Amino acid sequence: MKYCSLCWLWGVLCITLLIPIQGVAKDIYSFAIVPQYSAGDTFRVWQPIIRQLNDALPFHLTLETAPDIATFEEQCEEGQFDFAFIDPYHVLSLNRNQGYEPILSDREGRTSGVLVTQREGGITHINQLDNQPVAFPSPNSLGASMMLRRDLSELFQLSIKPRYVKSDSSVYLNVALGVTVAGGGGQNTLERQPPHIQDQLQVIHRTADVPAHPIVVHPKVSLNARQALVDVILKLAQNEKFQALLRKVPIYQLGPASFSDYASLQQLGLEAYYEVQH
Amino acid sequence: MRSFQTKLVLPLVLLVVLIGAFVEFYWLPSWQQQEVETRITEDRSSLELLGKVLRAPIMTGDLATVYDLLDQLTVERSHWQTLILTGKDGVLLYPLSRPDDVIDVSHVLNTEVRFQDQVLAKLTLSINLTPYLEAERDRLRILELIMLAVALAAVLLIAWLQRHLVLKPIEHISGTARQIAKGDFYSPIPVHPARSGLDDFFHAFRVMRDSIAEKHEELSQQITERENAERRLNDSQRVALLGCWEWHAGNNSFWCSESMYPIMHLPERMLADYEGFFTNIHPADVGSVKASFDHIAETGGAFDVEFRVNTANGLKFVHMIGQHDDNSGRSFGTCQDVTERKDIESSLRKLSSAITYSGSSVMITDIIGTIEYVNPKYTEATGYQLNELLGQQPEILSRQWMSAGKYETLWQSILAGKNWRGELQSLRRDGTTFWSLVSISPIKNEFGELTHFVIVLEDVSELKQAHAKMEQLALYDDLTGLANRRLFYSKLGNLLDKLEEPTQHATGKTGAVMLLDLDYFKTINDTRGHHVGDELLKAVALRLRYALHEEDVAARLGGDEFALLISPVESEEQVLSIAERILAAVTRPFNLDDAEMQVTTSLGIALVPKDGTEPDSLLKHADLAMYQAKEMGRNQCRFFTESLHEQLQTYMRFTREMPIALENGEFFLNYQPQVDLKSGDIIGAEALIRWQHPELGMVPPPAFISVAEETGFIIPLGRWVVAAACKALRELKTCGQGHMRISVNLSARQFRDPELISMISQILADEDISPDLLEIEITETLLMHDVKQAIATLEQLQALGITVAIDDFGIGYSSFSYLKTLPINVLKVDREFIKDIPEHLDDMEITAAIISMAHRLNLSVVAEGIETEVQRVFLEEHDCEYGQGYLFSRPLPLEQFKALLPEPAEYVTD
Repeated sequence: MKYCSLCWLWGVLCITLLIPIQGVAKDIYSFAIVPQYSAGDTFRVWQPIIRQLNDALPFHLTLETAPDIATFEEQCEEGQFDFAFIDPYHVLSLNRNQGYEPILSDREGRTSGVLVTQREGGITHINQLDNQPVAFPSPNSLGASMMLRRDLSELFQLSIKPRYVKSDSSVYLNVALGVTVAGGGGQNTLERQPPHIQDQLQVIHRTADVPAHPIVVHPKVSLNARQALVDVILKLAQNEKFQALLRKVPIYQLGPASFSDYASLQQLGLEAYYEVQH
Repeated sequence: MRSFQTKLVLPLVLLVVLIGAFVEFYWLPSWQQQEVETRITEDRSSLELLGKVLRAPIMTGDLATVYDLLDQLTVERSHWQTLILTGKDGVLLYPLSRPDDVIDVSHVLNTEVRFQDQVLAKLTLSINLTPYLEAERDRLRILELIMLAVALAAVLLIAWLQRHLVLKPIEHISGTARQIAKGDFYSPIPVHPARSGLDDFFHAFRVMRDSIAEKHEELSQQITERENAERRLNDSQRVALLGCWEWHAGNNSFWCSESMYPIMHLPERMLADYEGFFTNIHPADVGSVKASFDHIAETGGAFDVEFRVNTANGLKFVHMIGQHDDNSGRSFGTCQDVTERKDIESSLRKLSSAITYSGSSVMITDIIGTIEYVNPKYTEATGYQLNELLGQQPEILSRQWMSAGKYETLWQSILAGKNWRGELQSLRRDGTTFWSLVSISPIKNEFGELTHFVIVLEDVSELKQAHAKMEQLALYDDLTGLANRRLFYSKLGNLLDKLEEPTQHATGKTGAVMLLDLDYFKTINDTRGHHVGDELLKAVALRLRYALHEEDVAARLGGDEFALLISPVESEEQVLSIAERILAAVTRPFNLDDAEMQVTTSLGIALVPKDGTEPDSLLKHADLAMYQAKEMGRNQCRFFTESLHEQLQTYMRFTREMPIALENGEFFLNYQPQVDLKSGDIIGAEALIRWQHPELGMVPPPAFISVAEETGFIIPLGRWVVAAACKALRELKTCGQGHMRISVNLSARQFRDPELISMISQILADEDISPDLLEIEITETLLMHDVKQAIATLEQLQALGITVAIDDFGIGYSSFSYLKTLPINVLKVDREFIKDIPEHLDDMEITAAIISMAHRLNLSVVAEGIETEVQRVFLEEHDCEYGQGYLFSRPLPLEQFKALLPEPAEYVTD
């Protein structure tokens, strides 16, 4: 009897030892997310998605982000990440410097930059913003920063004091609390703000549409791996639950993407508003 | 068991309750207090940390991060009532709107977000720990309850496990234990749950149970044995009237067995104590008994005392023994009611004294005859010492001193438990023997088994000697030492008795009776003297004895008559050879009185049982045969024959018929004249009796006289003869023949009749006859039996005036030497001497000598049987006075006799 129980114990021990060995055998790739929201929000949104992907992928993805967008862009420029969900305009420099290539993007996710003010703040017209501090997430955000600053500067001829408050959410809070009179963000991020914040904001200007954030891949990642990711994501995107998760990003309709989808951005003449991160 | 379980579980429950109480009432409040302080401290440091954390976002305007942080903190820390972040200008940064005043604020903490010396913002934290504490407390309570529940469940589980694994088995085993306690060792031991861990316990219990069972079995057996032993002991004590006691002198505690009560005559219900023990002891003995107790208590050792106990039925004797055990300090012992023994001892003492001082010798032996006791009389009688005899075998019972048959009979008898009485020879120490009348009584024990023999001996040596002497006198002939008639009859009777037994018949062995007498013994006696006769008889007896075998019997019946009993005999030839041997033995010359002497004998033989089955008839037949032998010429033997038997028949017939014949007048007298030989005149007659038998005709006198003589009928017949003769004399006298003399023969028996003289004188007187006319004739042999008496009788007859004649002189053993002493008047010469005259010269000389001698003795002589003239002349020449015989006349009836007589006138004239 004792001998049997000893055998059984040995069996359990072997199984528990074997499972981690199998896990270890998977390749690991980093998947970095641009910090549009606070770091906590970013993790809250993306962690479930990455978990689902890991369950389906033949390799393992680790979720990566940075304290702020500038740091993120800097790390991307260094080619630290295998996969990355990045600002559309950032595709240009990353493609150029590191060879990152977009593989997936929200086919319905075209958005625009919005300029918001406090609903009860007294600013009813964009011209009232002259020489006023205006909050932006970061200098190089396509819709929320570069296009709005271009519009303010070139379209309305206004001089503002830009304040880069790290994320779209901070932009909206600064505006809601009256720290800055106005702030620039993305349409899609605004829509994701809690109602009581949205209730305190009003959009006073919209930019032209900009393409959605793509998922890019570093050239060091094998074709099999990137194809596998594309296949898995596209397959999962058919799933209701996965769609619900993606909507929190927000991404509405994922589809294959390529650098050509973003080449047109070079034509927007935003170079003057792009700040190289150091 | 439930209470036991309660006892097991209750501490656990109490422990749980105590722990619960401790948690609830001590640990929880202190925990709360501590928690509050910890929280405050934590919150304060959190707040300060938050201030540092928020510095960068606030400086960069990254409110999202601030909100993210603060929201998260606020959500995480439920007790944070409000967290307010205000800018340096008092602008509310967090939350979006200033919250309402909250009442439940327990603490308010503030900190500043600074950058260098510049205050960037202020953080105000309102804390309400109460809900938290309550929640925590509730949580802890739930935990506590869960713990309690778990504890209770654990307790219950423990209880259940205890019950299932321990208590139930224990309960079962308790049941089994109770069964065991009741003595049931074979109920199955209950099965206990597997892996309960009680295997060892159950195994141990089983081992214990088996061990107890074994021990119990042993104990039960021991108890039974002990009870049995105790019961046996009690029973045996009770039966043996034995009690035991124990006394501790130290604390004066006393115990005695139940059987002691009746012995000490104590009441059944009385509690035995030391003093109580003495209640009924005879006052005179109490002191000594107590002294015995005290003595052993003080000095140890033992005592042995007898005392008396008073009872309603008198005194009882109790024998008590005691011993002291120094180690335990107790004295113990027994008491026994020895009253019966005392009585027996007393009786025994009496009996013992009776035996010890008995005038008889007493010996007690065991069953095999080993001497265990002899009394002083025995040692005195035998000269042995007591110690020489004890353990020895008494000679008295040994084979050595008695015949085999007697030995067998004696031992058979006493071993069969029967008394034996008889005479045995005993041995004295000096080697001499003596005869004892011995009585041997077997003694049986209470089981009826022989254990001892009591032998009582009476010294009967003297008696025996006297008896032997008497027997000798009674059974043996004084002169010859041979058996006498009585003994002979006895021996013959024994032989006849044996012959009646069938075995003896089968052997065909018989016997023979021989009767003999010496021819002419009387003559020898007469001529040589009695002492020679006696010597002769002794010598003959000796020869007879030698001629016979040991088992044969020789007896002297009387006079010279001997009887021999020969047995066994095979054939007549053998008998004849024995008879001839005897004849030869007797015929051999004897040397007596310095002179040689020769005798002959006639021997009659009767064979047993052919010739008779009664001693009398056998002797009679032998006698007849002997007479025949004599008649045949003496010195010979004759067997009894049938003709002799007929003689016997006649004898018996005559014996029966003669008295009748006398009454019927069948007897009559004939008279043979006696003649004066000189003158030729009839001087008288000899009366001769005749019997005219109605059937047999005339019976010759020898045929019936001897019968009458032997049967005693001769007395009345003799009286009749005398009376008839006297009548004849009277008749003769009447006829004028008064001088006629008539002689009458007297038989031996008549002669010995004491009434003879009176009878004759009476008849003479009655008939008025002169006595000198009556002559009495007697034979020689008639005188032989008692000469003195015969002489006296003869003298009396002569005194009457009666003439006495000796008849048949010369044929017997009469001798002249003693003839002269006899008072007789006439001698009658027997016809034996006369009949051969003149042919036999010897007879003539003898006759002449007799006549001459008679004349010298002044006796007149009558010659009998004169038949011829020559004889008459011879007798006349020799001066024989008278004669009778056929020459003169045969015997005649009285009338004819009278006719022979001359005329009375002559006589008258003469």
